Amino acid sequence: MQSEKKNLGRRIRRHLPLYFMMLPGLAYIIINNYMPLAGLQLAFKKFKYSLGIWGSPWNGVKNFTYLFKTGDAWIIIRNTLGYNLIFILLGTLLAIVVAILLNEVQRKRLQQTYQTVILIPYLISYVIVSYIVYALLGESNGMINNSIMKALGHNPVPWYTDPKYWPYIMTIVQLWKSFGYSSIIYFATILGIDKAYYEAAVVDGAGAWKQITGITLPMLKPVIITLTLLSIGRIFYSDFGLFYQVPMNTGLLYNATNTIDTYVYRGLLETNDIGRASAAGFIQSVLGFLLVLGTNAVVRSVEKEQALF
Amino acid sequence: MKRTLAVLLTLAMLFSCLSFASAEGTTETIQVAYMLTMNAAEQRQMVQDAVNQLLAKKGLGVQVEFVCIDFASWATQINLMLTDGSVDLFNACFMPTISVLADNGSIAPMDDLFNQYGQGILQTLGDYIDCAKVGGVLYGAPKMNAFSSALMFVMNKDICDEVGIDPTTITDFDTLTAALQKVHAAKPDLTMIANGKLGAYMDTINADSLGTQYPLGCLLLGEDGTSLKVQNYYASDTFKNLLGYVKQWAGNGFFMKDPMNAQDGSMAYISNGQAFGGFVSYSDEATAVSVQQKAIGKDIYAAQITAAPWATTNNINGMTWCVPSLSTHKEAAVKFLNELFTDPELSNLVCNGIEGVHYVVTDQGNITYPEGLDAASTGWPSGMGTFWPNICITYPWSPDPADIYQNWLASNDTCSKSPALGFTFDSSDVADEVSSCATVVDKYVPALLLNIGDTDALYQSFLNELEASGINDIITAKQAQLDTWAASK
Repeated sequence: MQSEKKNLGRRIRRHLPLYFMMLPGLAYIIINNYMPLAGLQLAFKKFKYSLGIWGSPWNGVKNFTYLFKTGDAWIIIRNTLGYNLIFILLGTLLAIVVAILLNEVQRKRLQQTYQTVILIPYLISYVIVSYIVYALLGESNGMINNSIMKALGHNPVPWYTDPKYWPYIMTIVQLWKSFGYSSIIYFATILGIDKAYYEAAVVDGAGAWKQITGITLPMLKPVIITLTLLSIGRIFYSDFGLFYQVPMNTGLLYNATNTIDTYVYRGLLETNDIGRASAAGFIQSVLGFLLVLGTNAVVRSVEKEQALF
Repeated sequence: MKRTLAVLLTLAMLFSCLSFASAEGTTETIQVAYMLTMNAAEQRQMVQDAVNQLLAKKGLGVQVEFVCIDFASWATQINLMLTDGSVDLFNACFMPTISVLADNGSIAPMDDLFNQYGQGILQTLGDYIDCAKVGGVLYGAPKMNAFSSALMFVMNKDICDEVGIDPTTITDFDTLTAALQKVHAAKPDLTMIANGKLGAYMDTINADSLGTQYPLGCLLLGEDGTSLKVQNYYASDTFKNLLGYVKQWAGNGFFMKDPMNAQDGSMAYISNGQAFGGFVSYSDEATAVSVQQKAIGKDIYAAQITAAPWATTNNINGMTWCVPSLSTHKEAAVKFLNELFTDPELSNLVCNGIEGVHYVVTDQGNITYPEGLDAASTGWPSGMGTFWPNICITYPWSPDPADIYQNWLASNDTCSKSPALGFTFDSSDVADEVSSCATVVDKYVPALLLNIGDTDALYQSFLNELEASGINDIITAKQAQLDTWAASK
């Protein structure tokens, strides 16, 4: 016991520089992520500026009712979850495919070029993306209507007034914008796989496909699980830029583009109600947290060592 | 011994500091929020010094510091400052309504302070001060203005003259439509009716929205102007008739291409020559021309479309000067506000800048830029007078006539007043319904007013969704509060 304690003390002393290096990060997480947890109480309070966070009176779940009052509650939740599920599924698939393809590129120069090029959309602000989309889809000047539809002898399509096209448009835009970034993460993992596995596989006569299914994918599994769990934690959130900017906040498209975030933004724009805004945040973060716990429990029961915790 | 001496000395110093502070305490410095738009107010320090010199001469014990905030971040910044009291006086424009601000405790009640230090405010505003009351308690001072408004159509003067349109013949939607047809025939490529962002191009007409942004339960002022019956604007004949005209306008091709994707205010399209005209709301045609001509930069005509300009609470309290409840200088803030309302010298300073530096007085009794300066290069914004509490006691800018503000004040006495003038709605009981109905309005109204899609079907589902979102609860709540208010008058 005594020696163990001494051991610990010595260990701490030896790693002191490392602990020291951890301090800024720790401080950041405490200030930025843990201290605001106290603000969760705002979701259950009628916030009064004159009384402050701690002094404001409680008002039960009254802040939450507006989320469900609207006839659109179902549409909003469906959109938020539905889009996120599609994004997670297709996004992961696309990212892995691109990462593997990237890995198969033999020439170093080209590989680096592709790597940079696929990252570019990720770096473009959604405000600019919304104009790129508008340049393609606009009714009077848009490229698709004027250069493609006309040439094919079709009538111009009123993209911005008919919600039925938007599930596809949103998905394409989101995938186009985000696949580069996630591909890089998978690509980095693939680069880290020991080349000896592949050499052994080649010796055993495995083709490219066999190598992918037998080595690359299993090695990628921990990263896939981690990234998917992280995205599931944010499944009740939606990218505000994507859902607000890209459809240009057009009313007729709400059925296909309204998510929890945009609904809350529009609903509270007029009233600036801090309690209600916190209530929406509360639901998003708490449900997301529970979902992560649940998914992790499922992963743990299937394959213990792959679980996050 | 030495130690005792040291302690004594320290105490003595402390006391002298304290007494010094209390002597100095007669002068308080207050933070006043000022909005920056196109002009960055580079000489703000010069104007602030001049204001403080003037205040020192008056011996009020108040000094000011301008906190300049960009228009784009105005609401967010002010909202933040309300949480810690770092501003002492602000104009609650582009913010939630004052009933919301009063309800969430961010602005302080003003009854006692105005009685003590704000007699000038009360006298200047007269009965119109009631529009800043929430539940019988006064929460601020609406800025002086021509308070009433009617729907106007402003149009490019050169085109009117070329095609032969006499703006005085345009008095309603029928005569407007006829005139637009004539212009459209001569200029088929020109947009007749410009719209702004999200397809918006027209305010609510002839209705008192009773304290909500959209007329979710309103008084229809066109009918007889005295009824206190709260109704659904979107189900009213006013709105249905409007939709009829919209169909005609769309059929004739009067609207912009891709109207929903407009990225500018509607007037910008008249300015850049893409559109012939657009709708605005002002108290009278002359004011519409004077204000919009400056913004558009082209000669324009204005024609009043609805019969009478109406004064409603919404029109008046949208720009109310308030004191945050966390401010520690409330008295000083009200003293300064009182001076802004009553002292022409001070009001001229904040509205127009320093004479000889930012403006010169002309022979006609109005003011213009000094030699070599213009709206962009002058160091104190010339177009922001309407932001301050009382532009009506300042010099108007050329080409406005010297007596333009007298006309404004006269219009306040003669305009039609909504029977609910002075009533503010406390929406906290139906806040869920209000935000949910507002979403429905955002969803349908722009499309309906531009005739996009199958408007008959859209209109039906619009009305249905409004009902499902609880518009009738809002109407009932408004009616109940309005009746109580009317009974107490």
